[in-house]
Amino acid sequence: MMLLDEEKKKYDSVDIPDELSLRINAEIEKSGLKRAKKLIIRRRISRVSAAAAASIAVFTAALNTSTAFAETTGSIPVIGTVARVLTFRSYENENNGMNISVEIPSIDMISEDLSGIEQSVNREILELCENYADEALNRAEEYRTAFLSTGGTEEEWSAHDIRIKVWYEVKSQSDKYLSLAIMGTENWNSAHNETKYYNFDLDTGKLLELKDILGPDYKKTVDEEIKRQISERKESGSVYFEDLAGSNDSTDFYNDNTGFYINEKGNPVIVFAPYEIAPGSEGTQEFEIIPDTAESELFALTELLGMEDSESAELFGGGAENYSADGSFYIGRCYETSLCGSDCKIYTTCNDDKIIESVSVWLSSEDEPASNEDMSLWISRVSNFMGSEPSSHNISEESGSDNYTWASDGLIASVRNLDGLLTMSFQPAIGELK
Amino acid sequence: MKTDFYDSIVAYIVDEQNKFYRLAYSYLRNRDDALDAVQNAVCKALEHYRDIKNQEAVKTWFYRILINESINILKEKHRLTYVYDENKDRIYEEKGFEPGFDAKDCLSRLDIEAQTIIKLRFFEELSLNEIAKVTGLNINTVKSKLYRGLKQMKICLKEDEL
Repeated sequence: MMLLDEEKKKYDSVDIPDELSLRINAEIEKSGLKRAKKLIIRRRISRVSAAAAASIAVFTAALNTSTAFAETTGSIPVIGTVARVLTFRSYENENNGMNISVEIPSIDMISEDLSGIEQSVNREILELCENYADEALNRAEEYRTAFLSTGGTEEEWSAHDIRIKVWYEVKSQSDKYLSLAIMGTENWNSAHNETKYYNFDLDTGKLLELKDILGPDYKKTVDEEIKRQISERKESGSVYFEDLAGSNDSTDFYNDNTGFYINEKGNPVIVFAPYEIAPGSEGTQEFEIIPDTAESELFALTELLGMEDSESAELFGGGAENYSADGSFYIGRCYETSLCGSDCKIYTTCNDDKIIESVSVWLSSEDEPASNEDMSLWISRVSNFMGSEPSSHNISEESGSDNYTWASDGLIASVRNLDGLLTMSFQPAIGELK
Repeated sequence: MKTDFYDSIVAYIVDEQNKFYRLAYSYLRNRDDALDAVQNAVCKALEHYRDIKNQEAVKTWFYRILINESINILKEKHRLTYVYDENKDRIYEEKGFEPGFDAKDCLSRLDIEAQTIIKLRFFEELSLNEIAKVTGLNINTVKSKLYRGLKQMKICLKEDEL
């Protein structure tokens, strides 16, 4: 509609006054205060309902960093810190022989751009903690009432030493992300213990999902990894709930509600609470998922094709120039590096214009020849990367080498094994050099 | 541990605030009035968020509040005139006449419902379904008002050429 295109442009270019966000934040604050008041009133009512014993409340609203954080990761870098986790509110309360201690974190993003999102997340964390504390306290009081009305005495009740605790731990933090765990426990009732994880992308201020870290295939990756680790653990004697067929194979372990945190190595760790997938005696089950970097590493290799030799000099840790034996002819470069965690050597060959026209990788060495498993592993990596099974497989008559090749999208890949000497190479399909 | 819609609404409002301002401005053509309209809408939204049934409804629900607040301010400032429509035998509201014949003026001459539908469709890029939810009209009514409105605009713009 040409008629309105101009109008739309004008519409979209209307200036936004600075005052807008101020006014909106003011409304949010106002409504936040109203809600907080309601929460406090609710809590007061539930505490007053207990018998008339004096309650001692120690309420500190000071901002300080959590002791748990200081213990887990040592010193906090001052320069370049994008976000901090602060203890927003912490208090301890003793009531009717029940002890409740609550430490509520809040995220402080240094960048102001993210303050809106930070606010809503902190609000959510605050509610989470307070709701848990409220509910735990209610459960405790019901228990107490039941206990006393069935003949228990106050002294016996005090001996229970009921403790409710809400606290948090920063699991890991880097320039890019922050992983936070919030825990609530009741010491007489482990079935209601809860842990909730928050993983933040510090660039956008949004919560990270597994697919952001592991890619769109994350469900498959996660399920396979978990099943693999479960079989390993079963072998060392652990017990898991099984499906009707008596195995774990058709179970879908991961759903969007399953919690995960990011560990110090930057890998996601999926967490299942006790009783979720195994009997309570097995405790909390954690599974670290190490993402497979094969795809991106192989892609980086293929990027060399068509590149000028000079551009490739500094890549992969730096490549040494490679001349023919008499020094007259420039072949390409050699890089000593590693792929997918194993050491290798990459060789490029250039044409007369010094443009790279093929890439070969020596995946094994004389000292460490490749096994059949190594070959299968690389074959499956290349198949995944190329998006298909090998297009041909033969054994060369002259050399006796075992060769697999793939061809797709103008790219030819091959993996060759000559008595333990395993090589992989990539070149453009003839006539298609960029 | 459960949370309700409150936090997602706050996040939605904060993220999309510029859009809301521009929509209010398209009705009110005045910075302060537009700011007031958005602020009132946010206030009402945060008070009545419990009316929402599910997450997906937040967008159309908020747009409805915002448009109502914008129209309320127009009424307060007497910038809406009422016109009797003989064909339908009822009174409908028409925004005060803007002189001139460019697209903006022709748009402002449509009845307020048609204006809203056109704005939501072309400026805010809502689907017809969403527009039906925001306006509370049946989707066929939305379509016919939309096309009739556009036709009227074309006629109005051609007058400029005479």
